[in-house]
Amino acid sequence: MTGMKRKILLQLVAPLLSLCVLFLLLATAPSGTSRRLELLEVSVLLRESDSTARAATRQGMEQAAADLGAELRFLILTEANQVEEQQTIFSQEIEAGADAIVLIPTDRTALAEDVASASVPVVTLETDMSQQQAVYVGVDNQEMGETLAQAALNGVAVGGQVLLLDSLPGDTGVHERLQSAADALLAADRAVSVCRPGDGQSLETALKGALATQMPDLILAFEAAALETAARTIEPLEAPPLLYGMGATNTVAAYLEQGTITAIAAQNEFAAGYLAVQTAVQMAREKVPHVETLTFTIVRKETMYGPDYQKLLFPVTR
Amino acid sequence: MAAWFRSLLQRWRALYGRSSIQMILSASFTAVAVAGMLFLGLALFLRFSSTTNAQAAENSQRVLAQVNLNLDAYLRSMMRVSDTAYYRVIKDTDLAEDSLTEPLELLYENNRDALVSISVFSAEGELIAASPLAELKNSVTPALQSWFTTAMEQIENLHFSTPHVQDLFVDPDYRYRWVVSLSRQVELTRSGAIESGVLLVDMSFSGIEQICKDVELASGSGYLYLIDGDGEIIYHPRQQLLYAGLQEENNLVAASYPDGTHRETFQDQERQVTVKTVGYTGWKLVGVMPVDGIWDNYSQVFLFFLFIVLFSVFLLIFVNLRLSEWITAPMKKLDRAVKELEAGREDVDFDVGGPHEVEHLSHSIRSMVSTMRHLTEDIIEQEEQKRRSELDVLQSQINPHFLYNTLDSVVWMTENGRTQDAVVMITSLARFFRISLSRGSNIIPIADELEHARHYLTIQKMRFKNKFSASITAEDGVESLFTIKLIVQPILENAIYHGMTYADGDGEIAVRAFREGQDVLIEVSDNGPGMPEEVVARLLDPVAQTDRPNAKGSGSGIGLRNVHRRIQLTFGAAYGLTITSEPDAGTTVRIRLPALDEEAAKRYRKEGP
Repeated sequence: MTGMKRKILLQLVAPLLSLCVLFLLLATAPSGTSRRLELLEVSVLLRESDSTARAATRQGMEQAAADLGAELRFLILTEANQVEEQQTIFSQEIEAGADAIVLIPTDRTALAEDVASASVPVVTLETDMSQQQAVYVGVDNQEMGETLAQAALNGVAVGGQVLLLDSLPGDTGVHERLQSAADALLAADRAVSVCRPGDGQSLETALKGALATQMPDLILAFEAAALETAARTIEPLEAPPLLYGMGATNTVAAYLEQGTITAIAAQNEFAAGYLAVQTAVQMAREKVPHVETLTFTIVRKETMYGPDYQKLLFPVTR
Repeated sequence: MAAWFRSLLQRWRALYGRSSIQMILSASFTAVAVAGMLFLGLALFLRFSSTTNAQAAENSQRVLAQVNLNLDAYLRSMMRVSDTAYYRVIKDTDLAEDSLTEPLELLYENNRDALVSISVFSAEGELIAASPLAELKNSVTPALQSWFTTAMEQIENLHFSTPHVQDLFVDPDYRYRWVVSLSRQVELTRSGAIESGVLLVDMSFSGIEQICKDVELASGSGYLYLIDGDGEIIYHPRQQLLYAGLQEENNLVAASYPDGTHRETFQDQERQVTVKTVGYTGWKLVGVMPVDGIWDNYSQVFLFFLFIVLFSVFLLIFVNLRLSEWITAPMKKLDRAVKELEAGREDVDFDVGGPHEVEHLSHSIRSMVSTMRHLTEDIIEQEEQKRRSELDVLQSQINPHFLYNTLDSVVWMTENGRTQDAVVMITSLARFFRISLSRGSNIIPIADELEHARHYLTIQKMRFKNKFSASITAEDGVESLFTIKLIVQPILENAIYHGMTYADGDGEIAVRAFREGQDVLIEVSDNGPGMPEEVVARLLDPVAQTDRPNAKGSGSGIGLRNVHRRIQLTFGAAYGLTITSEPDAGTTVRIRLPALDEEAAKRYRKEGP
């Protein structure tokens, strides 16, 4: 009788129990599509004191966060381009347990140590800090500066005066653009001067001072805020100089449409924001990101409403 | 390949040979049942799969039909706005006397959630009236824009554009809105004269977006997008990603699909695509469901189904094991009983029960065993009888009385100076015993048997002082045949002691050997007093011997019966003695034997030590 019971146990009960356990395990295991990845916290550190100029970038970031399961925390500075404050925020975010950081650096050199020693993945926009182990998402700044300078050559004759707006004090990608453009203009026999705000001085004041001293034939701005400022400054002038710049905000588009701005070099800000967060999330999840340098396009008043340019300049509102 | 199959077949046969009936039954039942279940499961699965796909397609079509209704209603409401502006405002207004601005503002205010602007242009593209913004950008030339040219070219229709940024009016807030333009050619009245113009209603893109964005297909894994007849995307849930080049859509191919459900593979993903054309505009709603997503909803059902199948398989295996065990239990019991029998056990129980075939088999084995036991007992009995008969023969051969009497006769002859006779008697006696022994062989040539008889007669004739005469003859060829030994002497002994005792020199004994067909007959005849018939009948009757257990010695007939039994035990019931006798006429004993040559005799030969 004992032998028979053991036989029944072996033949039926044991396999059935195993099967039931397997069934429970499989039934309670989440399916592939319903499985939700753990929500990641990604801190986005801007270098501005407000994020309106980065609206499209922010849209892209939010779209990526929604797609990939991340929570974004946008952090602005009390005053734009304050290196120390950004350093502090950077450290605080890492200590607070951020899974990744998307950074628009105020100064590459000043932040180099912080970024290199960061314990979480760091992705930079606008300024390439790949030498500090950060992944860079953006355009080739030197190429962009050079291309814009080449485009501007048509607006200023040989020997003509070009004023470059050095709107950011630190070592940034914007400064790379300026340097590259200056080199291209000098190489093409244009006279180059740089307008750099002094301590406590706004760009607008500095620009007005520069314009009062000598009216240039052409002004080059290398980021959206500086371009808007320049456009706003020269708009009232009766014979304003040509204005070329970089950035693609609604205000810039409006000045472009009005003719205040002659041409801009624009990257897809939405794509930049999306790719930055996507890369940060991938790195936080220990995946190897695939990052390519973004492209940019020269947009003029005449072409700005072309189908492709519309999509570049004006993100579909959500 | 053939070698592999042969090897497989051999292995299969070897396995079959090694397996028990229970295992073969279990495996066969299980294999057949599992194959059946798998077939059934597969059929159900395919059916379920087909139904699921059909349901998914039907669900998509239902959802798309609903979205289509909403979209159509929305577009019709926009067309009604356009109609109202045209038929209630523009047609009733003489531009020389009244302005269109106020009524258009009113109309805009009534539909401000859906509209971005409403404006009227002259045939030359000059702005006549607009709301809410009224200042045209100086960079804009309306007459060159596609909404204007299309309206002027196809005057009978209302025209919907694809989404674009509205670029007509100066917005102090620098807002750039995505709109879908609805334009139509209108007739303007100016000082009573009719002139052509264009009515433009810019619908907010978000209106279309609101209709499409919350639509879910296949529990979230599917989505819906809207394209125009050329495949240009009007709405897509990830529109900006498409615009930024971060994602792609198969919209240009989808534009060529007719209404209905289709399968496509895009970017290595198989998708079920359902297309529905939006009535007036020619736009197409495209519902996309990844095939994997369709099955996600049914994964638990599939798991449950799999569990049921596996559970059934286990249950089947268990039931088959039990069933085959029940079927084969009587056979196993029978097998054990046969093994016990082989091991020598006698009280083996063959009552194994089970189905009637097994019952019959066990009954047959039991019967066979019983028969074998009887046969064995018979053989043992026969062997015992044979042994006893041979012992009797041996006893008769060394009958001490015969030996004493013969030796007494020799002594007597010697004392009386009959030395020569004594020599003859002793010689015959020696010869007699030599043939009796025959080196232990039970089969001897008939010539030896007759020689044995001859010596016996010689001795007895001398002892009985020639009261009788004897002759031994043999047909040619008979002497070379073989017989069991010592079958003639007991008959001669009987003939002498019962037939010749009272003879007075005229007694005759004749021994004749001859062939009769395949048999050999040895006939011993005497002219003694003979016997009554009942005595003759009793002589070979074994019962008669049993009745007289103490009947021994000469005249009891034991010698005849022994010879008869030995012949029958050796050669069968067809052979043996027949006795014919008549009172006062003598007795003839006929011995019938098979005619055995030397080769045939070997079969019966039983050599001594």
